[in-house]
Amino acid sequence: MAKQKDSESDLLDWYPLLCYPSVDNELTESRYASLPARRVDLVGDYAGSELFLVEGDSVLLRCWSDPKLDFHGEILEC
Amino acid sequence: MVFFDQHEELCIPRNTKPSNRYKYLLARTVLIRHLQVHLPRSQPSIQIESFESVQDPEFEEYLTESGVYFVLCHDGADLTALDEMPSTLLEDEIEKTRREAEDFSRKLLFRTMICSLINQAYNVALINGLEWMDTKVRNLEFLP
Repeated sequence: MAKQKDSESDLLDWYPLLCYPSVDNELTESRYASLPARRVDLVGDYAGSELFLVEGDSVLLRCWSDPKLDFHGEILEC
Repeated sequence: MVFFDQHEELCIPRNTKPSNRYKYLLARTVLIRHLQVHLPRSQPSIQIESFESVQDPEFEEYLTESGVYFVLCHDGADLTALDEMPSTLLEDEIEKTRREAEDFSRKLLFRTMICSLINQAYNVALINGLEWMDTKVRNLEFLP
């Protein structure tokens, strides 16, 4: 029973993002799903050389999601 | 390029074991510091900024003053399959639930940011799904 309790408290440690105040989950998802969207050529048809903002963690997630990148040291262990 | 303190865990990819999370957070901190030190000299046209969250009044002021045309970001969608759990042990069930909750949180925070920017009349382009074709850079763009 003690071990199960520890696992449950560990689980709660990973939920901080879900506890972010003032975020209505369903409203956000339905709003996001209803956004008008189109595919564009960012350079040629849209922004050209205009200034734009890049969200840093988006870049990191995009790069680090590459399965060929090994942060876990498993390749080096072979 | 803008980093948000509140988004620091969003850079950790799906299926990352809890014991490896610190590696991504450390790499993130090192990268941000590296860019802050070296970018002003090597690429002065690229600014790197850090704010508490998307709702930070300083970020809203920065958006207005910088005059950006659009924002490029992720929406949390991931086509990588969640790792299969080899057994039905309670610990594995909890781990699977943890990963699903993490996925949900990641998507929610990114999409909340996107909706907030759209509400402020900024166009948002997705960095996941970028296609590089000859001289073109095609991706999905959301309109306000």
